[in-house]
Amino acid sequence: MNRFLVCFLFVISILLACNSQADKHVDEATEKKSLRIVSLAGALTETVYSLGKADQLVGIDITSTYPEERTAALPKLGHISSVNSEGVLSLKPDLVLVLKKGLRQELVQQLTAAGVKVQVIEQEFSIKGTKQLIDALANLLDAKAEADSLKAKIDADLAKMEQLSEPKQALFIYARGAGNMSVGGKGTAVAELIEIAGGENVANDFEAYKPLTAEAMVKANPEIILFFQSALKSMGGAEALNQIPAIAQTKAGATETFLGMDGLFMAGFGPRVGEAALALNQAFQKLGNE
Amino acid sequence: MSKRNLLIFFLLLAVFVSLPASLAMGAFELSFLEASQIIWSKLSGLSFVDDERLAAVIWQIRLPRVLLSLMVGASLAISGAALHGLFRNPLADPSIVGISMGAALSAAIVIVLADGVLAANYSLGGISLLAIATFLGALVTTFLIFRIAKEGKKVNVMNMLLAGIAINAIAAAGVGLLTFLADNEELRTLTFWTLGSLGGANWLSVGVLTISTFLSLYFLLPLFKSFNALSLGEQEATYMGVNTEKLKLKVIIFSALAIGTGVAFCGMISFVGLVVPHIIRLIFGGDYRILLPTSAIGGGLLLCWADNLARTAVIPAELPIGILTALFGAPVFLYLILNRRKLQLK
Repeated sequence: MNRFLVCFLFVISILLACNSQADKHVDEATEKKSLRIVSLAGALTETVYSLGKADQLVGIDITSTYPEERTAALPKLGHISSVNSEGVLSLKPDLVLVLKKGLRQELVQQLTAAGVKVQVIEQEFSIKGTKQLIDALANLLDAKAEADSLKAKIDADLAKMEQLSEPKQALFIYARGAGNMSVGGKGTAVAELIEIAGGENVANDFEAYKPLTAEAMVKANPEIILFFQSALKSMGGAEALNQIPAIAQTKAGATETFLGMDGLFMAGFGPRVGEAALALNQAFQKLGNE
Repeated sequence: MSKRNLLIFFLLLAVFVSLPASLAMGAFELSFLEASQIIWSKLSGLSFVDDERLAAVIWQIRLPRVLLSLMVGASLAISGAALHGLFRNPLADPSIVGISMGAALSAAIVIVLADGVLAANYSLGGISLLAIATFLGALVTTFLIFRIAKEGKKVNVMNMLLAGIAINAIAAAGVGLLTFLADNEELRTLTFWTLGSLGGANWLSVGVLTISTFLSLYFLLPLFKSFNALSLGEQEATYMGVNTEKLKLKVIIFSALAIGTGVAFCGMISFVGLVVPHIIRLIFGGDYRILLPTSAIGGGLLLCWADNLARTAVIPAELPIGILTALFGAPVFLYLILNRRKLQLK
């Protein structure tokens, strides 16, 4: 009986082996030509696109929103903290790009076990950090020339900024409705951008995002308040903002100086960081003239 | 065959059907034949599957995940059933004895205060700091509540419930404070953690969970007589020769072990421990001889299919499993309660 079973299993395993030889994958040749990339952060996706390699992207995360005409059609893998390794593998990538922040160790383990190269990138919110990020990706994707022109573009945009007579008092509110307003403190991406653009972040006595009380807001008294575009819309625009007592009492409230910018553009520190700094600098300049 | 054995037989049969069915489901498309080829090649040591990626998907990702879902489901459900039995309270679940919140607090501490180091290093033999801390958090809170409830040599079950509620509140405040301190990414990680995920499954976690699940089953399953006696009252159980103090200790130790390891690797998965024993109780009655083993198998089945849905519903992304266990379990539970008379349930 046992011997019969062994023979039977042996025959089965040979049959299975033959079968798997038959349907070998044929797309090896195409894989060599260009890496298939899954990018799991907005700034990384944007950089890949700017390096002219958007055609190689096969999957992105939900923070990858730029450029919309390219990202809309790509499969979305959710947020980095809930990305499913099998979902990533189903897109058959050769290279997975991730930021270190919020990354789960198990995801890297599983993808590496499946023979996929995972590139973990630590992002620094500064001009230097963005350039390093561009260089790192350019090395991986063999796009040195494109990287040089991207970095030159950033420098050119930064050079167009005008020196302000005095730093403008700015504040970034990360808002999801009037009752839920967190303010960007030291070290946050928007705070860094404000400094680069010649402003001063008035919420500089704490780090990360914290809810601010109405009184602290009045005391900080910013001249301009920045929002993510989507949040500004969700709060009902400038008029609705001035209904909030704390905001109405500030200089920004009195002059209705609210600026909404796209989240990835303002806080992504991707290849458009020069443009973003310039746009903010121009907003600051307008303040000076009034 | 007795009714009990017949029932266990059919549930086990369902598990053995679910296992291959689950292996053939997933974001990475492959046939059932390919899946079985890969598993056979790994088990037999003959390497005739030459697509390394395909093999990794099945062997490194999907198989551990399906096995983990069965183990965690069984752990949660049998602990739930045992806690119902011990507290003689149909609402007793891991949160009542503080296991969940204690685990959540330590998870939040790791996620928020040690986030920078979490991703790359800080693992002990491949087990992440998060898993270790969560497990310890679960054990420490359980032990704490147990100590508070101790009056002399006896453990007062009522005090244990109350202590559980108080410790829960303290831990929840701690989690709230850490939420306040957390930045965006940490907040997201924390939120997803509280909804649970089996996405981190690997052979190590399957190994740990197999040991803890079988230990709990080994020690909890034979307690059916004591639970049946206890359902008449603690005094009555003592008269019937049940050592209730020993029973309390056993139940607490092994449910903390089972739930603690589950939570450590998969985050908080709600409702399995509460709903599975209840569904089985409604259909087959409150005899713990039936209730304990069927809860374990039923919990495994529920989590297995909830996870199958979690990883296939929004391909290539993934739904948090906590949403699905509640969505699966609660309506069935409500249906059974509402149609109790019509269905002639117990």
